Amino acid sequence: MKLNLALAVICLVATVFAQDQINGSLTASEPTTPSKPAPRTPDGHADLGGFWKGDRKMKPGGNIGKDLPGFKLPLTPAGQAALQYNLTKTIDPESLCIPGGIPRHNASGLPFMILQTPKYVAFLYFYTYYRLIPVDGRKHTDDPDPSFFGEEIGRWEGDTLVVDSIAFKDEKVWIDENANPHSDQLHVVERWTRPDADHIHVDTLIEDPKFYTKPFTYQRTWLAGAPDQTLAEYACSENNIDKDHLSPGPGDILPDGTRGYATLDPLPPPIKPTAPVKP
Amino acid sequence: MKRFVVTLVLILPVLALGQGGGGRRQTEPVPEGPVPRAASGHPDLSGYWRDDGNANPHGNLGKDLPGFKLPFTPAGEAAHKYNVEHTIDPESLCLPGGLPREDVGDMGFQLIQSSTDTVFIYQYGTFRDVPVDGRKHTEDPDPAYFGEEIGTWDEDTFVIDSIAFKDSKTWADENADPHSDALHTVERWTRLDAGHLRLDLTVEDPKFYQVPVHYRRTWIAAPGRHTREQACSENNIDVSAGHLGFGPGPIRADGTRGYDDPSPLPPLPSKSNPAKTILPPGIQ
Repeated sequence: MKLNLALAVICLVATVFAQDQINGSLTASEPTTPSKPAPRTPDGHADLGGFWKGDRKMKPGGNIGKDLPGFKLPLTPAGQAALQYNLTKTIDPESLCIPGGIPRHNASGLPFMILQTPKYVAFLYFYTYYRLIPVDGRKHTDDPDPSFFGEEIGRWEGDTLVVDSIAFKDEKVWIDENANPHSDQLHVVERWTRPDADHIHVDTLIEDPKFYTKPFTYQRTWLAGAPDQTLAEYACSENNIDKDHLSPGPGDILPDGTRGYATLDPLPPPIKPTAPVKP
Repeated sequence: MKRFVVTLVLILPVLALGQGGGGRRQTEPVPEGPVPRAASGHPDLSGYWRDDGNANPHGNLGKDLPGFKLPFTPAGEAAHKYNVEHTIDPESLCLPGGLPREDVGDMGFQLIQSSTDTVFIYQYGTFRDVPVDGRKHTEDPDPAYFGEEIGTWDEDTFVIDSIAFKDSKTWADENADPHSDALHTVERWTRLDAGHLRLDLTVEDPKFYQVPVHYRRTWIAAPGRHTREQACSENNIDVSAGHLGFGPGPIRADGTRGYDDPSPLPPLPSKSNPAKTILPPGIQ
């Protein structure tokens, strides 16, 4: 029997919730005391390192059209067709243990970690995915292999880490949680800043002339987690029993732009014990 | 037909990654100079570390033991037999290799060291995060492929103490040697100079091994390389088509996994001896 993908999402959420119990909450609230200035690395750059968590006020989560009027993405006819294909023919790649890629991870509700060294910045995600961004003056190569995170090149512009990514896969990819598409023409420019010790911010420019009539932007701020929060191990392919039972598409998209069921059946009333449970 | 395709599965990605540098192993210079240090004053272990080619037999936890013979308990012997006869290589199923397996393989890895965490990034898109912030082991940690890992500095040596390992779908090395949930590993990582990183590994597992096993090897710095994205579950047709057999396949006399006497390859095609394409019946 085919299950709707949302069930898989529930399973993932359940697992994530289990991790929540170990590592503290997955979302953060604004600090109540004034923030300290952003720390700096010994080489003088802003230090983006830390455990970063979303804010529940960020809505709609998982929608790359968050900052557009009516969340409406400027799809070309080819992009519209690709969206229809994703909705009706593709299973959520993350449910199949395939990397979410960029920009999807930036629209996700899950925390992430950054480790920064003078030559590389590493982003570590849930599901044990990572991306490793060289920040050593290199340029894009002539014919990079397509990948889920693209060929990513970092550079510093003052205190801003700019990550320029090209060479994306065009199959088994969703640009966000809602199955919006991207093509192999995707070009993403992320501008990461740390305004103070408690916040990290990204301004994202997304270009994809095959699927979108014009470039659009996505911005977001995350809050610092507790200093001892880390990502726990996550073996996505271990006992992934839903894999063969998933339907295509993200399920319903709610009027608020998020993925999920518009109406939920009410839960049955709690069971009242009729007799004491004997050990 | 069931085949031990595992060896091929392991080799193919390496060839692809080799375009990023694996083929340069023979000529790649070894960086020279003193141990670089982090702002904290500790040695900085960050960088890409490639196999030095000397950790033979590769993939065998018993490398440093006479005859590569691991000191199994009877339970360990039974677990080894079970792994060989009844388990598919977990890495072929896109499960994390875990410890100590990742320490005995022949692939390079990326190490990223910050003031609070040290992260090892492996091929197959797996990483492990070792917190280095003074914390202790928790009372009841969840079992994991890499265990609960705690990092500390012992002068200039980085020590990782790991407990709480899974005991199913895990191999301790490439050869299907087993470990139990009583596994305790202590890794001592020392950067000898700019170019070399040495591991002294102690593996204790009183359920499966009579005495602790010691293992030592060295990696070489390869500053021009870094790990690449690998989507293990993408088009993993060997799994979805059910082509994988159990166990590691034969273990050679030299202690590595593979065939001692592979069938010779046919001669390379040439103009006088062109390649023949054989199509299945009914295909034109």
